[in-house]
Amino acid sequence: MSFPLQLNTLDCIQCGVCETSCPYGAIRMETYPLIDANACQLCKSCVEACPGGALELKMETEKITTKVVTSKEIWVLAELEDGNPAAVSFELLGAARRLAEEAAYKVAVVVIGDPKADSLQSLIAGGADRVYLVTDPRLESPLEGCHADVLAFVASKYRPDILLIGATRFGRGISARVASRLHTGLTADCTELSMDPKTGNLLQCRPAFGGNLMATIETPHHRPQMASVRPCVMRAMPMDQKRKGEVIRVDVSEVSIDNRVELLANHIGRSAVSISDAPVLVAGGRGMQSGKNMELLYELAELVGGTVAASRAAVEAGWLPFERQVGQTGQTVAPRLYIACGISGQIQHTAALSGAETIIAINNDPEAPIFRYAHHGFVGDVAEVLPRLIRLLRSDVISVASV
Amino acid sequence: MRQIVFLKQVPASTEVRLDPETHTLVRSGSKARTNPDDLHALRMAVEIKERTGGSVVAVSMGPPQAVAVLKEALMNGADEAILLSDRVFAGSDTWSTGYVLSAAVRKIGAVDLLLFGKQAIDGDTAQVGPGVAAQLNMPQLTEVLQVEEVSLESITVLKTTDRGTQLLRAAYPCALTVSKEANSLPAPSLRDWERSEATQVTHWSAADLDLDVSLLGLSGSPTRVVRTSVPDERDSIVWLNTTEGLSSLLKQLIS
Repeated sequence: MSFPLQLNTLDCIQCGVCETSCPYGAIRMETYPLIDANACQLCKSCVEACPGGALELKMETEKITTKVVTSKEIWVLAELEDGNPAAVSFELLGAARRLAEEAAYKVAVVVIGDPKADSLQSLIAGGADRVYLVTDPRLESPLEGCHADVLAFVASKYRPDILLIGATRFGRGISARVASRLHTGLTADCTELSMDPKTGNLLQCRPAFGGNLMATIETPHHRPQMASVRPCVMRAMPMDQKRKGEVIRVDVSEVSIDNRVELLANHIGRSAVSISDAPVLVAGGRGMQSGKNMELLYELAELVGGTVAASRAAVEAGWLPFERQVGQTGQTVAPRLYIACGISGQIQHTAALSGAETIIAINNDPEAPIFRYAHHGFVGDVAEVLPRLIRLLRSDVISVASV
Repeated sequence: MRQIVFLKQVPASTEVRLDPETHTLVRSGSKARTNPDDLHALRMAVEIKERTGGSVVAVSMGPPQAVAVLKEALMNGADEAILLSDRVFAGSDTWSTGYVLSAAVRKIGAVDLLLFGKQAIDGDTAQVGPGVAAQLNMPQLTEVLQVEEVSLESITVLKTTDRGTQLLRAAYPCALTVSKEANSLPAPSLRDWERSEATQVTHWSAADLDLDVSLLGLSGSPTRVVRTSVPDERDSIVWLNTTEGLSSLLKQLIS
């Protein structure tokens, strides 16, 4: 068996770009690049980077696998909060609906647990043609292992072609377990989904290497094609109360449900701040210079009706808590207005901002990457700009109030 | 009480810059390190061992140079170390990786706890821990913040959820995933270093694990990378030159 990554020396211009592009340090430049087959993870970074097209990832002859026969359905796992579907479930239904139009599929939603009476109709209004409802006293506790095992059972019974799950903490734990049980592929944190018109496969686009690269991934031979999507990334459909759908009750009384994990206490509401659904965010980064300057963010936030958010640098400096962190390791946000104060705009940060309608950036470095991403830019030191801005906004509030 | 901790070697930095002229990715240096969350998982295992006794086995799947990760694990309290290395593993996605790790657990034999870092900084998928738990039909406790109680029969942990925390108890064997908030890492002592130097790392290949090679690597993985690209950037920005301009834009946007 030859190593899949091959170099065509005739096309190689010996530029060394491949060496610097390799995230695993597996390429060393001599006259030609030398590839360390043990270190190489076959991630394709060098193939994409090579200006001469000299590197090629050669797949072995594909195994002829008969495609698993599936129902032509795109499934969404509904996540319930106190019996009501979470916002991310409607966002996924919106994504599923758009995919279904491309491929003439039906959209179904799986509800596990104890939904409120009007939840099922609202899921149909939000885009579902069909609801698979699983209720069982053993599933009342929101335990990811049990919900995953039941979802795997329902999926192997009805064979959806695609299964979408919200990349919440709960959804992440479930999706990985289901994919493993069903022996199928799973792409985490997708930011774009589309159908390949030629193969009919789901093209799953996700950030890789901390958002520095976008990778498009497919699951060619296994079904269902599974993807998780973070909240605030996809757009929900407008609710259509006239939409009709059917509800199928799935009996799981014969299915053995794991009882090895016991829920002793469920503390809700520890984290009072929610940046993921705030309409206006005022975010601070390393350029804020000190923890004391966070006051400026809070003052500005109050004046513009916003919530304070943070870059990873501000959280790591201890200025703001992790629950306010925007970015690849923090949260994805989709505010109407995002004000980035002293944030350099590493791609790990901006990757989580794709849903923001308007971004205003204030930074003293005109070359800061955030200015390649923002709609409006202001070059200046935030420690000086923010107090002036706050004074201006405040004087206006006072003058309006005194009229 | 026997625990297995899984550690992954990852690139030291995931920061990559785009060369604006050639539109290619440029990375400075190519050093490797141990995935940060995994070291916190190891720390949790060592703290559990201090309470219950027993042993901690460190396992890493990767190229021969990933032995550095295992040396670090031995220095930080692991008793044994096993490197799973084989060219046929390269290009494995999370399912295939889970398949290899599950086989290693079966070969190690009786085990009470599996510990994983919550996610790796190069892939950010958080899939391997729950994936292995499912392949071995073990219960999973993800994003564990704290071990509340541990005995020879069961473990009680506090875990982070989307809306707060949960207190959960599980019987053995079970799998835990651990994030950075769980603990802090003490610096190893000279004795730890000496012990690490004196301990041999075991090597297992695909053949040692009795694996079906057709389920491994690039061609055996369910998922496939079709292409990679550099994320979009905005091409035009409107510059504001005065604080007054900034202020009136804000007022206009929030009204």
